Amino acid sequence: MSTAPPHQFDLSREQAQRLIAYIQTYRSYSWEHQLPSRERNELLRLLQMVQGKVMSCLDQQQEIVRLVTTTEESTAMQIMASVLIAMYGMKQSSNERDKTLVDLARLKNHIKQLIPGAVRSKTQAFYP
Amino acid sequence: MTIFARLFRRQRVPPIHEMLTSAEKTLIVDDRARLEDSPYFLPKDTQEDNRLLLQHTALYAAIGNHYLAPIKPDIVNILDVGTGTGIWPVDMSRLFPSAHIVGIDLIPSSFHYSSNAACTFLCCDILKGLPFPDQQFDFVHQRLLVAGIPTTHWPDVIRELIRVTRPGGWIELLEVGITVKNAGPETTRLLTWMADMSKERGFDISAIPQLGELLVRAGLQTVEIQNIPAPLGTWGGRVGGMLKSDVLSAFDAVKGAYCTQASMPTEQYEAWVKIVAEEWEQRQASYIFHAAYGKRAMEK
Repeated sequence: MSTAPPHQFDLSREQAQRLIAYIQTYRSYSWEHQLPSRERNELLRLLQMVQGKVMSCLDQQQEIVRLVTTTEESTAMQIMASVLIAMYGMKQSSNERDKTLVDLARLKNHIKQLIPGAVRSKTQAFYP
Repeated sequence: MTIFARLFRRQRVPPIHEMLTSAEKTLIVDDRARLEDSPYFLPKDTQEDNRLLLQHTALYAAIGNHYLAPIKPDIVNILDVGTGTGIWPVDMSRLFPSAHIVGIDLIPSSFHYSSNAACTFLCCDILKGLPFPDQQFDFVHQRLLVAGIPTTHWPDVIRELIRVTRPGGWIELLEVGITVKNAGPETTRLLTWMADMSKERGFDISAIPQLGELLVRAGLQTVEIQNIPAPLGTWGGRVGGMLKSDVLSAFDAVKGAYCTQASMPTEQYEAWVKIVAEEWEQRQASYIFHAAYGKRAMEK
């Protein structure tokens, strides 16, 4: 586990809800399309932790959700954003799809600024 | 942890009592011991215990964790319903070192571990209600009781799980039905037949995918429903190999009950299962695990 200082994200409640939705979508996608592997499972566990943190923050009923993540969790979110961008990119163009792509790109860039040396994910085996 | 901290933590567990069930009596069917006075029709013997231990490892590798709900790391009280050997509470106690985990099952001979500061194992029948006060637990987990809870009992069981969960706490169910991805014709035929046999016993396993809806109807919030494919066979690597072994062992576990029920020679059943297992490899089949988890509403 990295000893780097944690990262802090300030999100509106709406952004926090969207982040939860992205994590849920990614977990479904990953289970459906990626064979079990140590790397896949580690990513899933990290995102599960992030989701728990976000939901816990939302329970506190504050206007601004202050999310604190480890480097590993931030990297996991960056990988998640990349995969979701690719996934949504293959869908037919629509207002909603385009808005989601913009939002995901913003999220990915925001995280990238926090962790400039982020690790890239290896290609994972896909289900038939 | 100091001795005083251990004692304090022991005393923090509210007064809960051991309930011995009458289900200690077993019946031998097809050389497997099964519970005599219980609708639960899987065996309760060493072979089944070994299968459950393998299943625990296989599931962790297949779905990625011992639990799926987004629970906080500082939760204090966890309940595992139908704990079997008790391995889930033991592994969870390593992930949540501050928590106390209670594992319940029908008979004490199932437990492979003794109660200690981290885990308490109790005999209890979920169908008769839980011996805990209201709002006791932060996280209530129940996995693969499809062969233990008759269909008409599911709403009552869910109500009871909710009763013992504190507001804001999580409830998680993980089950299997008869859904296999890339199933071949013999797999479909066998699972349909098994579903018919189970239905005659009061277990409609084809209804398992609707469990998430039961959580929603029971009033849980932020319910997530995930249908997770897990590879069956060596085509899916080590994990697929483990799951195939587990499912084949489970099919062997129900062989006696189903063959007696259908008046089918066991050799015929075994030959059928062999064809089905070959189909899994040829078609790269995956068993679908149905997960559903949600939060009990906060009190206003």
